[in-house]
Amino acid sequence: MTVPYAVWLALIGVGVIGSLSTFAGILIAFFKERKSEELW
Amino acid sequence: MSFQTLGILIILVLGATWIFAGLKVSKKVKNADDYLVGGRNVGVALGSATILATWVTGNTILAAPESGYTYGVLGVLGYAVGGGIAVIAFAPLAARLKEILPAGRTVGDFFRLRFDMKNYWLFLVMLLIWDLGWLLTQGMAAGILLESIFGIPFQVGVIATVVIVLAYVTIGGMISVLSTDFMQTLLIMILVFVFPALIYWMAGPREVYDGMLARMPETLRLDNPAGLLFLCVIPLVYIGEVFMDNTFWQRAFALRKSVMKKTFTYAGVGWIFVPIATGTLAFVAVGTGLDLPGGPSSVAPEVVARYAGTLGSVLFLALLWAALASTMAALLNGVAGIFMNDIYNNLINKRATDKQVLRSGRAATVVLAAITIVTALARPTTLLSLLIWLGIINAAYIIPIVSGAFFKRTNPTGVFISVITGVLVGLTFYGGGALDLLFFQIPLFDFPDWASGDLQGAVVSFTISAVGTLVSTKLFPRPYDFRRMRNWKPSSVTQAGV
Repeated sequence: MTVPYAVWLALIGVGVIGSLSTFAGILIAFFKERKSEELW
Repeated sequence: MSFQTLGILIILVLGATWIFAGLKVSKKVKNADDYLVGGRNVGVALGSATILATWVTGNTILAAPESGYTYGVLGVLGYAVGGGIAVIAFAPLAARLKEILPAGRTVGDFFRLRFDMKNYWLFLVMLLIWDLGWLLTQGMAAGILLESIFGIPFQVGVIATVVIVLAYVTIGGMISVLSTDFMQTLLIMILVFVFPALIYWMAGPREVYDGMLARMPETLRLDNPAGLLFLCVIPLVYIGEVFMDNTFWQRAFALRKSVMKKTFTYAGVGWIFVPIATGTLAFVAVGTGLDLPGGPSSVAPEVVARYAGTLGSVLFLALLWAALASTMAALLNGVAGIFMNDIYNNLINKRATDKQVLRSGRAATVVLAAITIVTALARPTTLLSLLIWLGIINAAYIIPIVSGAFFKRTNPTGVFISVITGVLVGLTFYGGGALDLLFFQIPLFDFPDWASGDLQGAVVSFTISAVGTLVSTKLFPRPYDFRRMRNWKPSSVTQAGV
């Protein structure tokens, strides 16, 4: 069974968007926790 | 400015930044707990960043594309899902550990208190071989990387990397690692986003897909038996690594109880995107027929060099070097933790004060760094085989750890016998019927090809140890009172209290 183009493209999209979302998520969590003094 | 000068400059700038950041927060270290588990109140941001930085290794950046080049889509999925599931699977165990062993510092504490001394020592020996092996691979990889990309002599690359990491880990321990890991993870995630986005923009996804279909259609297939076996078994190998590795246990003890599951789950999901992003770079090489003079392992740097030029290659080095240095820092602190907590405080000097334990940890970090340099400079070729070989041992410990943490009737002798039997039979499958003891083999049987190999060995080792642990517990239950672990305090803390 060959992976269709749309699924293959989605895989690349998941990697790219997921990495950016993780980057943003960590930054947002950092500023939130720093504000509430819950970093460590 | 030459390519080599630019590379050295970026290493110096990054290294100086990490040393500065690590030393700046090192003043927070007041006791052995701060040094080993960062004060036990770490939140989601620093927690998920440090888990990601530890688990994103040089392998994640280089071997995921190699896997994508060799096995295609299944290779990328197997690599990504396997490693991510392992971290997510650790989340409930981490939450349970925080509940049953609130004052724990290392995985050794769990084995000593939950099982018995024979299990403790067997596990410690296996763990030290595993963690030291990992440490050496990171040191060697740093040397090879700087040598192959920038022509920096291997010895200089190894020593510079270890010394930079040592400079901030020795004084600040986990507190410094948390700070530098945060910066390294942000750097890794942003570069991991930029490279595939830019390269697919330039190469054109449709052209790449059509090229793959024309040149290597098997890389787009989902029914490749070798790829399917890899996809099914690799989570087992990764779960074994994570469950056994002290760096993950330290992070479980370091996190605040209320954010434990969330942080490990977030880090596990976040990790999945890294090998997917780097692994799919390999598709560009397949689709465009890119020549790989360095073989499939060089596929990612070759693709980056072709599409992103000199600046791209330098940034790719920064990405790789951040991944290597962060893993090395976590390992140095993790292995030093085993020495200071399990060997010094629990064996050599049981009445040591907290200050003495802390001092022993710093000394152990320096000694371990020296061992890493000396051993890495020798470039031992059996190192990779050692890590694959140890994967069979990792798999054998999954169920004993889970059973010991969640069930009060787990039989310690059953665990001991099951682990040893599982490992020995697993190594026999690994050796195709010959018991493979790494440096020599004892021929016993002659197994067919499909039953031989590292993945098969891991499955057998896991199954035997799981069945043995569960059956022995069912037939000969040994009740355990978890209050023993809940009420336990490290002896150095007790001494300090007196």
